[in-house]
Amino acid sequence: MTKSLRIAVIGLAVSAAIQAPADVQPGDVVTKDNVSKAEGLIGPGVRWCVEHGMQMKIVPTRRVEWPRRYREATEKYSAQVRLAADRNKLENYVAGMPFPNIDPNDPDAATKIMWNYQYKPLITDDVLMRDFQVPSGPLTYTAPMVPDREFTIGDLRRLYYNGRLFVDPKPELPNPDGVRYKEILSPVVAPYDMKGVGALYIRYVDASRQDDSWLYVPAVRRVRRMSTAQRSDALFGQDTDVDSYWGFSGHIAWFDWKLLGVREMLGVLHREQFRPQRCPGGADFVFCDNWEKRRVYVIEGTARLPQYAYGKRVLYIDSEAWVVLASDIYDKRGDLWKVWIEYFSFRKQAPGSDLIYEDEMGFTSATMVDTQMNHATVIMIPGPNSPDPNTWYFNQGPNARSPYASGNTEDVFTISHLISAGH
Amino acid sequence: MIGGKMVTPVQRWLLLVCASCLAGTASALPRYGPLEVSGNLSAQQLFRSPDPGVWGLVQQRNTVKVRVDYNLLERGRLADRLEVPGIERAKLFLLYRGVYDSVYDLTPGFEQDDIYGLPIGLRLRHLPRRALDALRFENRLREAYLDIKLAKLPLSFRLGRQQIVWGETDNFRLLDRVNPLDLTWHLQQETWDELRVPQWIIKGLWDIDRLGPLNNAFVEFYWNPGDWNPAKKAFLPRPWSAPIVNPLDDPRSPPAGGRGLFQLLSRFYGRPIDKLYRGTRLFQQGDYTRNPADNSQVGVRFSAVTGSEMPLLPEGLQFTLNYFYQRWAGDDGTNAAAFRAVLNPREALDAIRRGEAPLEAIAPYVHAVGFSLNYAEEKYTQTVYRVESIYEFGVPFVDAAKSFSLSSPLALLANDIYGVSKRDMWKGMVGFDRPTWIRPLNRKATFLILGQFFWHYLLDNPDIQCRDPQERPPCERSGQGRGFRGQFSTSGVATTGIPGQLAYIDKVRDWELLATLAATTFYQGGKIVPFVVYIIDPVNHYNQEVIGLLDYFITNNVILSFSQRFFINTTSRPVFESWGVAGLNRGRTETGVKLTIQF
Repeated sequence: MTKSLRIAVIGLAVSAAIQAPADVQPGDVVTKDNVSKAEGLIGPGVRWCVEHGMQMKIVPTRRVEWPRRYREATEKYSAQVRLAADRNKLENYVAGMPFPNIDPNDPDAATKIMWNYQYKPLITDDVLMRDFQVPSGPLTYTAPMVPDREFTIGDLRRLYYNGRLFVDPKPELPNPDGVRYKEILSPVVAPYDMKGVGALYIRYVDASRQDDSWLYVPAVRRVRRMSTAQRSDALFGQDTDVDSYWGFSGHIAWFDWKLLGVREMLGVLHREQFRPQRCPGGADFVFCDNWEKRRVYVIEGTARLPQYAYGKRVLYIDSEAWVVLASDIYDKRGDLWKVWIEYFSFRKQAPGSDLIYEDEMGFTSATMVDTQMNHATVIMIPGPNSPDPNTWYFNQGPNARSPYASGNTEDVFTISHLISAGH
Repeated sequence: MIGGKMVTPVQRWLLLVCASCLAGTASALPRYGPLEVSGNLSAQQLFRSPDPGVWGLVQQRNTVKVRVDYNLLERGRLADRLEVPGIERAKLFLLYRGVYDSVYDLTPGFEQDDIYGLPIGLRLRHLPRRALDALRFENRLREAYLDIKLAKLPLSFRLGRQQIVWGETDNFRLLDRVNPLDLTWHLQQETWDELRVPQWIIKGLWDIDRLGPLNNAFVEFYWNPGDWNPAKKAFLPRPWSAPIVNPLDDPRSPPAGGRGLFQLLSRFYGRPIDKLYRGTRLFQQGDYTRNPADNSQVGVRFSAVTGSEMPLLPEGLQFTLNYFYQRWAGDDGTNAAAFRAVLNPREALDAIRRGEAPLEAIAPYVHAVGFSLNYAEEKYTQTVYRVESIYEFGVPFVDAAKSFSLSSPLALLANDIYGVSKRDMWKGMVGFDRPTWIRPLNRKATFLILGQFFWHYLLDNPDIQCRDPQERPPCERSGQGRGFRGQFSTSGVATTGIPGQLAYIDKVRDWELLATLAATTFYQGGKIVPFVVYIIDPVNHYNQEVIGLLDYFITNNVILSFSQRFFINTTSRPVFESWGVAGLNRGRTETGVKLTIQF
């Protein structure tokens, strides 16, 4: 090897070493001491959590299979789907994923990704989550969180009207008003000052149409209409807002979307234990669990609504499961304000449950951290005090069970049910 | 004292320890599932300050509430075993409220003035023992009902003692009229939920959902088969009273020439007269018997949300259409009549012979139709708009044109008690709710700003005239000869010479108006919840109320609440407003501290 060649090889090696991304391998544990190993694999929000005590146990990547019916519907119908000229509607959509092949160079790529997320395989027909705790409290990072508010939620349900694959009528319920889904959180069962509180939300297929929402307030014993602007407001002062449920539940039309990139990042899709395990000590505002490398769309949404609480959201959307793994939420000044992290457990059966699904379903828990106020809200499903193994019902329609109303059917997603369940 | 015995400091500590234990066992109580037990314990202290430097304790109320929710029947099976045909679901709801207010043992406080500014020389301790006992304790299963959902029909029932709340208004009532109020609890200074009197009612709900261009449609109807009474009100010196002494039996009462109606009649006719006509009782029992035939109350409402195919109306508008056939409860801020004179001389004299005053407490049936709506306008204002209106047929008013003639044997009552005339009224409210960022005050959560504007309009309201056409109101010399009289009107004709005591005519106005503005937000993750309210009555001397409330969650289950209420009058003369704002609460500026432990 000549001297000049040797110099060139060494130069290349040094250059490669300098530019090589940090990386993690299965078996690694990422903590605040070695967080730089995960540089580039986590967003600023998740990094903030690691720096404040969260530990990430790295495990091998596992596939998340789509439900068979969803896969078949995608193959059958996706070719006919078009994005409407105003980008607020899908044309010719029936079921499955509208745009399974995303070209990052497509100027509409970000919007199409958001429509895919809207029609994701996670839940196509309905979901019921029961009896879960939502503690919220200040963070000291040295001692466990002492919740200043802790709500126990009776039922949180969602019923999709189109794109249905499991429960008749399929693929769409009778839908003269163009409803995409109805969601009801009712009742809150504890603490006593909140007992009976409930909320009903209606999302429409046409994203340019505003949601409708009502809140039942037992103290006044009536339903109050809510403004859509309140969807981004802290719910009863906690850190969470309705638009952040599932990582993002806002409206596509309320944001200008931009695809920041397609990257390999870390996410939780296969929790080590079904019952979410909070980190020890002062880091119990998050869950310490299994993280795996995922191919992720990084999407930035800048709010168009003047009353919207946040300036922008950065969503990390898994390209296979089409769920939000994490979301960084920025204030109007552009500073990181909150972070939402989802902790999924894709599986066919909840431990102890007699309900076995034909496909893997995404059981999840979540945490939302206010990095500016040092405050967090933890959503645990099932909660530590939930003895019943059946806290989740995916696509079960009339077979879903709850003490407040059996069946995840249309009659439950009504104002009259909101009033009746709230007392 | 409890049951006449003093509560020692040791007993008080024991009570506190018991309360703490109960709070500690909260997590052991079933709170999700077929059986749920929950509730709270609270201790509220209220201090009244009529003038700076003068204050007194007016409430030291200790309350326990226990709520039980029990699923009797689920998916058509009783206890998951026995099939019950026709019923899909049945749930039992019980709510107990027990109260002990030690103020009625301690009887502290100062002499109170009445609405005319006259010192009445009465303190709490001057109340008879029986009255104090009635105020001291409450031990009541407030609500007890069964929810039943039928299996084959979209029909459900709520059967039992319950509250029914319709409408869109906050803190002032229009369509919310199914349950009368107990205004002796804390006048109108607490939530209606505490003040409404739950009643035995059969309520049904037909869930229609889709109906043409409407969705979320349902019809709700109720029948109260006899368990109804008018609004409960009290007189001075009770802390939560109308600001007058009892006009029937209190010798300090300005009506009837400052002698009290019963005393006046007893002295004049030389026999004890201490009852109202035909056994009626003021604010308790009107001219009816408590049975389904004579005291049924019914109502129905249709509620729906407009869909995309609805002509004329925007989609997403929620509305209700309401109809009521109820007795007049007298608790919505209307200056209406609660009793009427028995003007037939023969009937009146017969009543006097029976020891009854020729005066009857009344609660006539009133037809009422109304509507309410709400709509979230998101494009331009991001505001929720609320509207509510009601039209009432035949509201009773005291009519000065209907009095005993001066030549009648009952002429001594000619300027004190009157007959009643009925008129229609139109009432309404327009309001808004807007979540608003005020980032210099709170960077983390919006302020919910709520505004309301109320009106009452009385149709065909006669002008006020004196008996002597040369005299002008308040007709101190000749008495009122024409026009309606409000509940605080007095006569100057038969004054006993009490200095400063004049005739007053509490005008029943064509228009009564009221505006409210309120704001609330959350601080520190919901740990601190402030709430401020401003109320102004532009018709009655711009009397105003300013309320500040603050809830501080020490823990999730321990809440410390502070309250401050200012009642502002712009004149030293009596302000005869009927909403229950500053005119009726003159001198009742109030500071409160409340500790609540919930389980």
